[in-house]
Amino acid sequence: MNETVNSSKWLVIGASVIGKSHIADDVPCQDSHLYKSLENGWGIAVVADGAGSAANSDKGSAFVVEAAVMAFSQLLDKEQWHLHQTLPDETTWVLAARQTLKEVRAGLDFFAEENEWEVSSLACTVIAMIYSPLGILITHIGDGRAAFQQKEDKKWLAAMTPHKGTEANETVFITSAIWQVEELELSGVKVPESRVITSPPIAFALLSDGCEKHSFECSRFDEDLQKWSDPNQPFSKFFTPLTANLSSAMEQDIAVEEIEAKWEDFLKGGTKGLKQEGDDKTMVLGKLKY
Amino acid sequence: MAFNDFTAESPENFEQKCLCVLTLDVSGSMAGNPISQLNAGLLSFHTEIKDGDDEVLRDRLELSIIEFGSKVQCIQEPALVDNFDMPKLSVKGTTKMVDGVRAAIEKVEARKEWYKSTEQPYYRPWIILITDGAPDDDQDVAALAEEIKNGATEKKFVFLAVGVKGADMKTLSKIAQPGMPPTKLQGFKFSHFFRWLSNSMGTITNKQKGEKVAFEKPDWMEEFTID
Repeated sequence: MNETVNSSKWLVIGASVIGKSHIADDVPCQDSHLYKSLENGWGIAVVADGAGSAANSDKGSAFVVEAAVMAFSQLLDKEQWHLHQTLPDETTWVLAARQTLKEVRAGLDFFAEENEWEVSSLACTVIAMIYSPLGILITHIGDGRAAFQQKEDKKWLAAMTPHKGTEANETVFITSAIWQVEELELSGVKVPESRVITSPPIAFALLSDGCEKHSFECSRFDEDLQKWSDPNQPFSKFFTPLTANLSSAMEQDIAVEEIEAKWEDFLKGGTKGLKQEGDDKTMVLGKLKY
Repeated sequence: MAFNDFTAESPENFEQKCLCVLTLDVSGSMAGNPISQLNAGLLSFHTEIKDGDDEVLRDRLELSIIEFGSKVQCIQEPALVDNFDMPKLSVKGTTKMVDGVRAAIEKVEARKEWYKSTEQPYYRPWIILITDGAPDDDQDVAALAEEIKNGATEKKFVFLAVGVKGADMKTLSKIAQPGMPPTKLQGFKFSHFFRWLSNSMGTITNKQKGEKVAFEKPDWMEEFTID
């Protein structure tokens, strides 16, 4: 259950829907998401995407979103950034985020042991965001995307860089052997990658990789230069109509359940690409109320 | 403004590629019905992908075709199905099978070098061997077996061998990659095999993060045992 969804200055919605190839293979949806709002317009949103090759990754991702929301709540209880309305500096956040994700991983080890599973069978990625009217704290392990719309010029910008391998479907998981190496890098960013965004946001989105090519400019091939690139650019024609619709829902006091039902329908087949997508699809969308 | 269904516009993104090299036996023993069935199967494979509703597969799958008889020849360089017409095979000579598979491995390596030089991520390439006979005596099967085993272990490619009636299944078992035993085609059901391959490539190109591919049970496969 998502708690106190609509009591802060943000309206946050989310859905995780099964992909076409998982329906065909009779595999459960391996994505999970969870969010929680806190005082002063602060909140936590988490998305986890279970590895297709891991037998219990649906349970892994469900555990990780619960554990991450709890662990980052405890971090905020301790640091009180939301009560003091201040963002930590980058060094503080990088250390705190790494430590918090390590606690989530420790919980996952315990969960695996309790059920007599290999922890690798619970493999999943994780993206955790602490959002606020002041800025954003984000940390992640693996792929997926995150975006925010800055208040200043209404531009949509990427909030993270996904960790990707050489092969198109390779990434790293919270269960991977990443914790012994302090300076591990993938896709040019550290694992975990943690960022402090000090530009005030008016909207944000977290998504699993099943949604990425439908919502981000993320794969471009320049025929003249014969070079491929990942612009990692949130597509404003995708996000802006969605947040505009969220704003109108807020104005009309539409019940969150009703909004989320429509949101789920959208992820299932709101565009041709989403409808045909083989992978599971998760997106959490937040819009600041004026 | 009313609260409506959510609608949005998606960006144009380049599909990352998955190469499949078909390595086909055109030796004399394939003459007659086998080669005409193989040609019919290739043609329907091409049409199914080109005109089918799996747009991702169409934009993602690069096909290359190597034929081997007395000589080895690449008759189709890697390309999306939209960009070429399926060539028609004709029989010629003996069975330079090892040389044919080697050429496929080289094709995979060369394409991967191109992917890397352009910095594009790619899906693990596939090499599919279809043969109805035994390799010529001068063909070094043991060395090829080692090469395939290493290539598969190092995740350079996935290798699948398909034997047609008369094929030397013992040799195919020797060169098969670990965990991917050779399969035997029922009669000359090439069209069934290629329909399965088209579905399987669709599955592969839609898979995520190292997911194991659960193929649907093929209706073209004949049970066989290797003693």
